[in-house]
Amino acid sequence: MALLEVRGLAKGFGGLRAVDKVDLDVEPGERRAIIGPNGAGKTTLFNLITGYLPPDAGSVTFDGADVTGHPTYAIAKAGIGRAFQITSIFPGLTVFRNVQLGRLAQQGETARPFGSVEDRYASSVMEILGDCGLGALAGERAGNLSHGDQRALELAISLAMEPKLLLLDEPTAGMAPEETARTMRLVRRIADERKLTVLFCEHDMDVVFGTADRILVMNLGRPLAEGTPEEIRAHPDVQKVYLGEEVV
Amino acid sequence: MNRHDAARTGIAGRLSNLRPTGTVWAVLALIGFIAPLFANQRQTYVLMHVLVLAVFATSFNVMLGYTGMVSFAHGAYYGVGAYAVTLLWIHLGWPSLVGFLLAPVIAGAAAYLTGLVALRAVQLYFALLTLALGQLLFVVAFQWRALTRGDDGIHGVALPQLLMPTTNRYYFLLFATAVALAILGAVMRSPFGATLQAIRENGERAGFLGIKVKRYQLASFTLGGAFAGYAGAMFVIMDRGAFPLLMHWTTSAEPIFVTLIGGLNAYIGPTVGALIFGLLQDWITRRFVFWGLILGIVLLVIILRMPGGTVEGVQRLVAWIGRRRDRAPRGEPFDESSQPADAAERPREGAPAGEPTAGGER
Amino acid sequence: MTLDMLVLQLLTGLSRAAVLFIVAAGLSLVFGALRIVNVAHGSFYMLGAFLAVTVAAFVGGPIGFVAAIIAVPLLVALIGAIVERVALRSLYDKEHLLQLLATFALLLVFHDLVRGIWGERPHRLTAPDLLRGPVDLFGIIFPRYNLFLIGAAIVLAVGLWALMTRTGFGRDIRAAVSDPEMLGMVGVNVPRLFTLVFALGAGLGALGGILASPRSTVLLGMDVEMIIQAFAVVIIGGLGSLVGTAVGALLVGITFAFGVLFVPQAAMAMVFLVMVAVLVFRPYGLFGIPER
Repeated sequence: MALLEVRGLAKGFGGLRAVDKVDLDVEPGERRAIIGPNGAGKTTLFNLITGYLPPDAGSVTFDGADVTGHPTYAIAKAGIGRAFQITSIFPGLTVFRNVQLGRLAQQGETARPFGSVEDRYASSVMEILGDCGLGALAGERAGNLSHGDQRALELAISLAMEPKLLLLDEPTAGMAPEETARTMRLVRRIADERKLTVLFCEHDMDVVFGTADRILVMNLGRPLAEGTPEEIRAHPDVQKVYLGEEVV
Repeated sequence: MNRHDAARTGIAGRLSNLRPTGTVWAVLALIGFIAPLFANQRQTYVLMHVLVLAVFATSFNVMLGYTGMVSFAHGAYYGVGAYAVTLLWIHLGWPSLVGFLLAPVIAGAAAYLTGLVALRAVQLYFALLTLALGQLLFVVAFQWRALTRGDDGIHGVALPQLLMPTTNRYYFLLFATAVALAILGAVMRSPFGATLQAIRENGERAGFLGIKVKRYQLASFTLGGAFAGYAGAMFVIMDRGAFPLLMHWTTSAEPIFVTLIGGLNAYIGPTVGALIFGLLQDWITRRFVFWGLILGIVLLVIILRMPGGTVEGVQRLVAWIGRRRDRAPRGEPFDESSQPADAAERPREGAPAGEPTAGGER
Repeated sequence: MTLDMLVLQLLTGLSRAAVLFIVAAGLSLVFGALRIVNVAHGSFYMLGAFLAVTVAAFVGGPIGFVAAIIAVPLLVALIGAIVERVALRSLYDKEHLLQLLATFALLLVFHDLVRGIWGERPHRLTAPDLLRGPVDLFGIIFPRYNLFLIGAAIVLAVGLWALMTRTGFGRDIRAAVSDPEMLGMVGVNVPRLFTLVFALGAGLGALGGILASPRSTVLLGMDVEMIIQAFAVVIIGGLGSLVGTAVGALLVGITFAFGVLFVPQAAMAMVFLVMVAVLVFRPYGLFGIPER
């Protein structure tokens, strides 16, 4: 059974059908990419899956449970983690505290009003920070980090939640080539080590073809094609709407 | 500061040198303990007022500094706490110490109920809605003469014999302050306190961590309101009375001023602010009628030039002195542009950071 | 309760709404363009009243009141412009709260300045004879001055509407309300616009203070009393909306007038209840737009 099952998901804004009857199955352990030109509905689809937007129609089933239209916190609790297209961290807190909050949330301890928070889960937090190459920056104010480090931190926060499925919205947006390569190596390594299922959307075709097991191509809110990287590369419609302009 | 961080980064270690708050607390406690020995009756009253203000402002900073919410209803809960003691005494004949213990519960309940309504709005409108709700409570206290005796207020609340001497009352309030600050401090250092800071920093991201933002904001509002009521009950022990002005929105402004003067980015800030505000107010009002003028100018200077308040100002000063000592003995002129980022923008673990935001998520 | 009494009370409410509208329009305008909730608006209201007392006494006679109405709002507008340049300019990129608190600090400063200059004694501002005494409106005896207030508010509302819709200045303000970033790009001198809007707001506050004074006394503390009511008006109507301000002023003025008639003790409480009720069902006020 698929870990994530999306059926007939739809969302419109005024007259625009941003996401139009999308079906999507993501198997456990899979690394799935969603690609498509700007306005294809990738981010909206993520927002629908994570409960940030209520869908007009369709259903989202995660790990056998219907989570359609559930609030964001419930979906996060169910095991869908998300890293954002726009870097979204807690800028005034330390890097350590940022990740620690993910651990606290995962342990259901955010409401615990006693006991010092300082060293709580310090070892597992430092381990995650180490994995993400942020170990030396633990005491730094998160807002002072470089863009690439902030993206890595965001990934670290999401990992601290120990999600079953990780959604990455353009993980390398705005990155220099070396940073991009580093970030994707990190994603691949962590996904392998932690047996994570990853669903990501991305503009950089090198990243997509180098990382994804399967690819869903969207255009104008609708699924256009789906398959392995080789199948997608060879797909005539895909070449027409998308690859033709970007890949060469 | 987390031990791991401190060990790994020299920066973090330096930061902890800047924050010897344990020592500062100890010095404050010592001063608090021996001060009455040197103070006359009037001065003891001033000190009691400082204690009440410290609890009132710290309870406010739970919302402002930690959760990033601005409330103009805080005076109302302060007043509810004060009236809880006086009304239970005058109508039911309950001893004032029983009222003292019930005051935070009643004020917390009032804060919870009004918070439910106010949290329908966010940011600026949240702040303005608390203003309306607080004024509503004020008008009730002002106009419902049968219950509160209206504008006349209630005076001469009976206290236990032991609390009649001013010095004893002072020590009672010192103890009450220590208890309140210890409880709030522990809660703010807990995972819950860290979660509130996460909401202040980025409510949307907190939501994606599975945190029910509104619920935590309501909890923060209720906790702040409860301890505002506790401060109000402390006021009754000091003043032996309650009157509607305690609930007016201009009273709600007082903890804001105190917090700003002390510094909203540190747990100790409101307490430092209370000391400065209380002593300054006493000193100025006895010499000069224009206290508001001076307070206003001081506040403008703080807002425009030193948003971190006294605590951060002192931290910067300490950092600057430290750096001067490191430099060649000749010393260069103080470089304004390179200096402030250091102390001001460092993370403050266990203490809130960053600019205040008007309440509400998003 | 006769119909006459109801109509009389309605008219009283309208005259109250008239002053509220003039004052709150300034508050709302400033919020709309500058995104600042100006607590010191109450100070401009009080300053207007006190300055008017002085100007009217200096000029003397029935002309004194007219001279005050013309000169004082201009003077307070100038004070407002200075305040905006000195105290508020550097806070625009900061959080709302700091701006709010800065204007609160200004309220304290102005309060003591007025106290220092005019003292704690209440003052009187008398309207010219022409505007005093009762008037017979189809059998209802009504103070002529209240009628004047209603007329003045209508004239002012039309004037503001024309200013906002028929002039370049108004077009710039409306642009500032909807998209401040675009404004600078299309070549509008934004800092100057903000100063002008703030000055206009301050002038309106002062005008409200002058017009309200003949009906009551000019008293220290009228700043706080008015700002809280003006807040109620703009919050009910929606911050930044002129139409909302008018509707809010009518609601507050009439609620208060009838509140006084039926439950005198709870009149102000009723105003706050209306405000809470509106915000609970429309968190951005009746005509407000959600905060960006």
